[in-house]
Amino acid sequence: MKGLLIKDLKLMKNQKNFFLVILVVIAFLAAGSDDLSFPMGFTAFIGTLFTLSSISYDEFDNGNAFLFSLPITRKQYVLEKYGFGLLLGIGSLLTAVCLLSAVRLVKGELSLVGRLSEIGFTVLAVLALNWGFLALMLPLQLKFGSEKGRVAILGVFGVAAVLGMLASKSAAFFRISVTAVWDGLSAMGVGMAGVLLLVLSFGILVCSMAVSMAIVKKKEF
Amino acid sequence: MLEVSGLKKNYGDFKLNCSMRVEDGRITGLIGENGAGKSTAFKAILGLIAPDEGTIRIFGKEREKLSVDDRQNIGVVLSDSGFSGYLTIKDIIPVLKHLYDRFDPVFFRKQVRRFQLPTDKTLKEFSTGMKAKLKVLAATSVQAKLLLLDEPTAGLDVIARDELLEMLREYMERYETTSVLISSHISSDLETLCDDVYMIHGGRIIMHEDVDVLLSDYALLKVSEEQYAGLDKQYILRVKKEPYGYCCLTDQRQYYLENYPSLAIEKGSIDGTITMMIRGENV
Repeated sequence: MKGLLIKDLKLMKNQKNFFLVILVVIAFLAAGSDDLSFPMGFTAFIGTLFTLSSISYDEFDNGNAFLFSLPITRKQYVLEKYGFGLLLGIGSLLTAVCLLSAVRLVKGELSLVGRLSEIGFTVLAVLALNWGFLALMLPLQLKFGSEKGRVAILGVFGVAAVLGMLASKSAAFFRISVTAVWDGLSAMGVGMAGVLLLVLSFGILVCSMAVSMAIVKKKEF
Repeated sequence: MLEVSGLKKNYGDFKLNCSMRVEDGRITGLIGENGAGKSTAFKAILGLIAPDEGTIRIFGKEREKLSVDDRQNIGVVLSDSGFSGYLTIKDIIPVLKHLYDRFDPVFFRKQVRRFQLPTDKTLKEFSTGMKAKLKVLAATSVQAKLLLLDEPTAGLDVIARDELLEMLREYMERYETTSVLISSHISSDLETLCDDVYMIHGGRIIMHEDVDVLLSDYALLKVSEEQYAGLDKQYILRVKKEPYGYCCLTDQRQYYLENYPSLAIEKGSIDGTITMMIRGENV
């Protein structure tokens, strides 16, 4: 599995200019605004996006046939993609935090110490969103490939919108107040809510990995 | 080393139905036209497609039960697939090192220099010949006990093909117990390299023979209508109508040389044999 990880990291090297541009954009965003959540979320999102690109790189020129004839199992391949996604998400987030601290330092603010709780919650929320995104996108990408995957994601968003509307209507029907749920979460404290969100998204990610394993197991190359 | 029994795979009109064996320390060829089923057979052996029926045993184990360690003993070349075109040779060295315990980076680098392969260029910039050499080089740098080579010489010129076959011969000299299954639609490659060949047509194995036997005992008899009428046909495998009369395939060349000295008898070859096996008719 280490070999696969090295392969993906080497492939990522091809995108280094793109990542540098993103970091410059983030630095400018951070210099111009006090908001931390957007630059952190954006960097992590871009990082995670590369996990999906790595699947396209594997598919390029029928590369999967050779890849799966190497001494790896299909389970290991899926596990590596999820591990790579986690690594990139966390790595990008850490890079963003370091970059934001550096920008603050240049601007004359000595550190982000005063905003630790805000940063802590943002990190947890961004990671949770990231994992949710990975959980949704990886099975789609593995099942449909990069071309059809884009169409599939539109379909999924459509279905999600319909389900959201149904959930909202059902909540009204059963007299469940969304505000009350939100208040309940707030009462837990920001940190606890963030951890809960992260645990929930990790659970979804594990379920998604099981689905991806079933998809890849059935694939023919 | 490798045993394929009653392997079946259906793709609409195309039906693969084959059985074959690759013995320890032997180089076995698989020859057939494009679309005959060679790549499908390789893909099934490698587990890239799921067979509808049949069993595949490698190193005495069922294919599905091979561990990752077992699979480290298999070197693979696929005609239509390889390492990502976005990687360089420098990139793939650590990848191979972590995938194969017995990958020999010193040998690999030495061969890269020998074949003048660029280490910093992405593989998509490589010529067909460079790509083919790299594929064979990667497969032969892991001290594999079984090499599965699907059309390793496809699209290469004579010089590049010769270099590539030389690489394989050198490998077999270094690791004498290694077994090889190699496919090609270029018969001369297999005639000089293989111990035995399977001929595949329309998804079915139509013939299996030792190359030595095929070259020494097989022959094409080119006979007129009158000669054909008086010919002993008990050793004729296939016959095909030609403008001059008949072309007959036999596996008893000596018999016809001794008993019909006036006949035009052409020495056996893989090309001649497979053409007759496909286009000819039973007597």
